[in-house]
Amino acid sequence: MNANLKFIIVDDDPFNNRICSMIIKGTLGEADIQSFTLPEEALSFIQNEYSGMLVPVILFLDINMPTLTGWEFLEKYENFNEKIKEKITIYILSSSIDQPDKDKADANKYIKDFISKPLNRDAIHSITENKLLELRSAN
Amino acid sequence: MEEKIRILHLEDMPLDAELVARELKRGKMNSEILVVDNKLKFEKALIDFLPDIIFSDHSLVSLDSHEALRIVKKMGVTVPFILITATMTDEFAVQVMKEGADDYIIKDRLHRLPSAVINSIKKYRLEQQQLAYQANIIRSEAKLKESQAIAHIGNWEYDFSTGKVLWSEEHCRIYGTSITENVQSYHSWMSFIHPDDIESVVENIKNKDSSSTDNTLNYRIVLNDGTVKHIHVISKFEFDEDGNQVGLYGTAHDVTEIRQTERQLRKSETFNLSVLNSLSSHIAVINNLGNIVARNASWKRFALENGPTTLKGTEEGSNYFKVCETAANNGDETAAEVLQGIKNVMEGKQDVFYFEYPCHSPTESRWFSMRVIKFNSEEPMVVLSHQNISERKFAELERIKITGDLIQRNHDLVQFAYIVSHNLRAPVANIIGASSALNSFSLDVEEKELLSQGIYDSVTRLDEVIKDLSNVLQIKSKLRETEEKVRFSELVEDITISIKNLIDKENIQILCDFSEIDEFVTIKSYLYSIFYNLITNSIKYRQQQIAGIIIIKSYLTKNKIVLTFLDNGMGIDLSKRKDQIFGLYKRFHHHIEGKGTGLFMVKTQVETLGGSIDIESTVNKGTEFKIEFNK
Repeated sequence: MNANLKFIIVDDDPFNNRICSMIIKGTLGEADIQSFTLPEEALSFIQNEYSGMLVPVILFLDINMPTLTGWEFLEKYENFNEKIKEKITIYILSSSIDQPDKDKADANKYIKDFISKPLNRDAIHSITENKLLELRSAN
Repeated sequence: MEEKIRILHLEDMPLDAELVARELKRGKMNSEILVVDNKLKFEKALIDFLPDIIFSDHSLVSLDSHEALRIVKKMGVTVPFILITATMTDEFAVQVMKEGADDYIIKDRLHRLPSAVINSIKKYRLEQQQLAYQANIIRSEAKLKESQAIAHIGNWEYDFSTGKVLWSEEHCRIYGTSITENVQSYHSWMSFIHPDDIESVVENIKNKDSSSTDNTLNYRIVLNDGTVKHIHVISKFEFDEDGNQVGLYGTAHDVTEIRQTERQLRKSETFNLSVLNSLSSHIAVINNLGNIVARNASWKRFALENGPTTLKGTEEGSNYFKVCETAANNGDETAAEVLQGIKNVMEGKQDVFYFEYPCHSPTESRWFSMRVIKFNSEEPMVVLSHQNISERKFAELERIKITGDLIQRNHDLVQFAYIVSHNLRAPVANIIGASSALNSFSLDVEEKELLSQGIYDSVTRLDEVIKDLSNVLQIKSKLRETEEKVRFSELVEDITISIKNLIDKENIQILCDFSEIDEFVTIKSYLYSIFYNLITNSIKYRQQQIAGIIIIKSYLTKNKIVLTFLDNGMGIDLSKRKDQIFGLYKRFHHHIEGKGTGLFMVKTQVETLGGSIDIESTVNKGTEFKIEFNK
């Protein structure tokens, strides 16, 4: 049931990415997870290597990164092909509990939701169920 | 008598006329004679011939000598009239002379005629001259009276022998007497003098110096109706042939109105000056050449207290433009601005020039405002007023400072909240995530090991953030560290020794130039930290493929000490993030270990020491930090 979902994690903190992978795998059993500590690399992956596959993607995006912030990442993402963007659902995954950050996330049309770290079973469950319902109704 | 005498002869006997003409010729008389024989011709000749003298026979056919004399008088001809007749009784002669004839000649004794003509004409001309003199005298007398009345100047004459003082009409009028009371005496004159002035008048008269030609005297008189008048007198002595004083004469000028105007003017001047002088503002009027033509007491006082070096240290008569120009040439920017402002108002380019400027004395800091307004007068002038606005200005500066502090505090709080939610929260989230993974899932040994290590790292990071925050908060509260003289060269030396291994390993060259200024009184530990952070930053972000060079310089500007730190490192793209460069936990390089506290600490410490810091940077070229401290 999970073979048709791909997870991408963009966060400069490698330990966080490790924990996320474990939690996703622990919750769903097996999963296709790819993590990037450099957001630029994640962008070029999506544009160049992912464009042919078009498997639905759940993307967890951190805000506070040194070379490119989550918001700057989204500015570049905006220019991507619509076909690609249709397949990608972006969640902000941040340690932030700052209300302005949440408000900013709400205002961005590419962001599905704001999740405060750490990621947990319940969050994974509801994200995947949502996604599957969406896909089913689309079909 | 040289000139030709024109004679009109009334005679109807040709033989008689011929006899007269011959007699005149015999007397070598240069004359032109016109003989007429009737009334009509006589009247016409009086107008056309313009005779110098008239001869008349006594009885002609058409008129007699009485009638002829009447015609002459009636026509206003004023020339001698001589009767020439055959016989004449004494009674008749008297009668004719009474009627206005000037002489008479019996025809039998015509030899007397030439001398009679000359005498008559001489006598007649003398009479005419006297009449003219008289008329002139009467005219000038009238003019004098009129002039005296217009000018309110009367004249008087004091004859010592009679003791009488003669007053002119206007003099009478000034003293309020009728013009018939023009004969007065010394005592009657004294009775008019104001009681308060009697003493000085008497004194003046007593000391009158007979050798001096002019004497002036001012006093008041009290008229009979009580009116008080101010009189200005100029007098002279009159001397007889032997040089003895025989009298005194002079003019009396009624100067009451002039005195009153003068007094009013003085009063209003005193009033204006008192008002001006009572103002605390320093006020001066300058003309279009910059000369100070007037100033009030405050201005003068300020000029005395502050000497000639300050902008406002200028006395009356000195040139304000020159003072400004000198100050401007010495680098005083406000002076140049003030000079331009004054000239603009002077030339009508702007109505008012207003300017606030600091003018600190060695003992106190002061602020002044300056207002320049065009002054209404014939030549272009402006009024400058300087006002001490220190109190208002300090309140204003205090308010700005408080506002600035509050904004900074608020900004700090927002930043603090951000740091708490991100930098404190991040390791916490990791710890929660890792511990829940440890507990919930079946993990292999390697995974468990990894999570335990991760939890330990996160806790360490958490601890570091807490320490950083505590450090920052301590700097902000400006601990009472003592200031001391710090040498830049020694700081760099200390730091290079402490990080010698790093410098050697990375092959870094540090070049210093502190020749212009090497010393600065400050908190040493802060300045050390600033130098340390900037130097280690440059080493950390050097370009690996070339030899790292750091150039540190110090120099002086007008009121600042400037330090620059230039390196040839990898640089930062400032186009997007210049505002964030000094932010806490801002990092711009992913691959190099950094907490993002270095530049934040540098900026905080620079600002705590009262300075400012700026950055210029080009990617792959290098970075320059510029720090400015107030002297």
